[in-house]
Amino acid sequence: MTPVRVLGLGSPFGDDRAGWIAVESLLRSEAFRALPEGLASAEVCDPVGNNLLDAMRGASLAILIDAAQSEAAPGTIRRLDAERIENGYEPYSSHGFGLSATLALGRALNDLPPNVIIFLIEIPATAEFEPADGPSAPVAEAMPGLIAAVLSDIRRWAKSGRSITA
Amino acid sequence: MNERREIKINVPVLARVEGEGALDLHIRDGRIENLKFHIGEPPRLFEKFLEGREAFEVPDMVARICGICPVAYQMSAVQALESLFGWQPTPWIEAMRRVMYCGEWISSHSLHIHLLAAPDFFGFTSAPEMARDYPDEVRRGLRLQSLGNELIRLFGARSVHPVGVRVGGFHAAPPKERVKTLLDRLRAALPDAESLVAWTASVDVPQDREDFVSVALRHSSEYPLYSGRIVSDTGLDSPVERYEDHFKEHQEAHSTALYSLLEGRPYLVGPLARLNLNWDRLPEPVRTTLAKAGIPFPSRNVFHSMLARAVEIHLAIAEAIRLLENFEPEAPFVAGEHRAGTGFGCTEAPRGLLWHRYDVGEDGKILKARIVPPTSQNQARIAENLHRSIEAFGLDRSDDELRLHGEKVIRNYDPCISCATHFLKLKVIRE
Repeated sequence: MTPVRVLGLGSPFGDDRAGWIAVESLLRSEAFRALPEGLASAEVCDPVGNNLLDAMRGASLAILIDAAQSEAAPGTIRRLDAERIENGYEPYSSHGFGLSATLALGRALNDLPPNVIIFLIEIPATAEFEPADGPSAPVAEAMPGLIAAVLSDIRRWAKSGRSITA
Repeated sequence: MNERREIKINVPVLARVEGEGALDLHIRDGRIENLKFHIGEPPRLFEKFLEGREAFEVPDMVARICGICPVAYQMSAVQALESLFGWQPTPWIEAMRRVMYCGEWISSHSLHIHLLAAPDFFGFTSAPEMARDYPDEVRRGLRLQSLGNELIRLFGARSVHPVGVRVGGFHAAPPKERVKTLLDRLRAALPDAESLVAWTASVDVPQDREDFVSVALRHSSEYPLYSGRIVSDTGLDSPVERYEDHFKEHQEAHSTALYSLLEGRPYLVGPLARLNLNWDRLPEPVRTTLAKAGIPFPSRNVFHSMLARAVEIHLAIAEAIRLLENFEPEAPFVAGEHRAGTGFGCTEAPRGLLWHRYDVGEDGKILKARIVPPTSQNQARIAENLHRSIEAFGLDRSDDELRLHGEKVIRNYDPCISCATHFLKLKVIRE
């Protein structure tokens, strides 16, 4: 288990794959491969909820990447500290345990890594969640910048070994 | 004055319940004039999707009906098709299916107890809120859920919509090394399961006593999970293929899920019904743990469903250990010719009896499918339970108290409304 874990969230449908695409791009990138062995891993995560808490457990830095719709310009990348989106009152059920409820639950149990950062990629408001060959143009264009930002966080953490939360 | 008040309560969105449900309550002159438990999810038409598909596609398609009990759908389906084709899975395949199914019970039940039901009984509105005061209990729930998910992954490659099951068995046998690691985790989880049974028995649940019919599978020697005859505490004892002789489904205008009645009466399926009818099939050490808890079964209190779930988690862990103890990989599937005709399958999903029927044509394609999920079978029982339990609770209570009590009653069944259609909106009218 590596101290730095990058987890792509989403589903196989359309731009909701943005987090998965980011992980795939990261794994292919020379810069990620050049990181010291055993430092960082990247994977597509099973749906959020308990599986996400399992995937983050024991890490020092967890970087979550997900698609977002917030009326910002498509392709906008935002970097947030997990605390900004935790919400213990978000409705949930046996099938839907969302990201903010999961993070709130992990926080209440002292079960989150010391640093949890979330990158959100704005997808178009018109995005359709159907199987697609690739992401929409704004999401594809934003990918290199996103990968660079994730790598920069990993390097910064490795250098300082300290808190790098926003 | 109060007696004459007309009270209307509407709970438009039911929390910690899967899918879109609602409750309307109309009280006039201190009596319930009208109570409706609505299921408003659009129909999902899965049975129609299956028509014209190849038999081998069925396990992967029906797994998509439910994100929390996909294994149950796969097991009832493969059983139905294999019985029609005359394929006989080996004892190894049947044992490993039971193990995978145990994973689903552990995962689904521990999620329901800790994250969905327990906050009700401790005065919290959500699990993250409860976790601050009861971190050890919630952590235990998450540990058990992870263990169940891992058991499903062992055979299904992933815990949600697993893909390892095929008609005839599994696509592959799991590697011995992974089984060994998991066996260690299962053994280490036994104390968690034992303490969970004691804890759920100690929870202060409403003391409702009701007359209701329990329906479950019953097996000649095992606690029912993967096979058995359909029995009730009113004397029913039917082979799976005769289900339609005894159980009738009908439509009601306020619900997109069908109602099911046994000889014209509502009935209960699920953990409490199973335990009520099969407590004598519990193996050691589960039987002793339950005896220590001090609550006798059969129980007429539907709120003992949470305890029944805990008992079944303990049972599932003990069963998985027993079945994996001397694990050696074997041929993972059997195969043969397809045959035209009708096949039936019935297993115990975490929420209760899950019955499937498939009509297959000469070309090996599905002509017709019929799937009766547990929540639609419990629907009439939930409405009956709500009526009695809310009356016993007291109609003079505030709207908020009535709403919370109604939600507790419904959540206690762990209804999966998405499965049933094929969450609670409460509307109370007081006059």
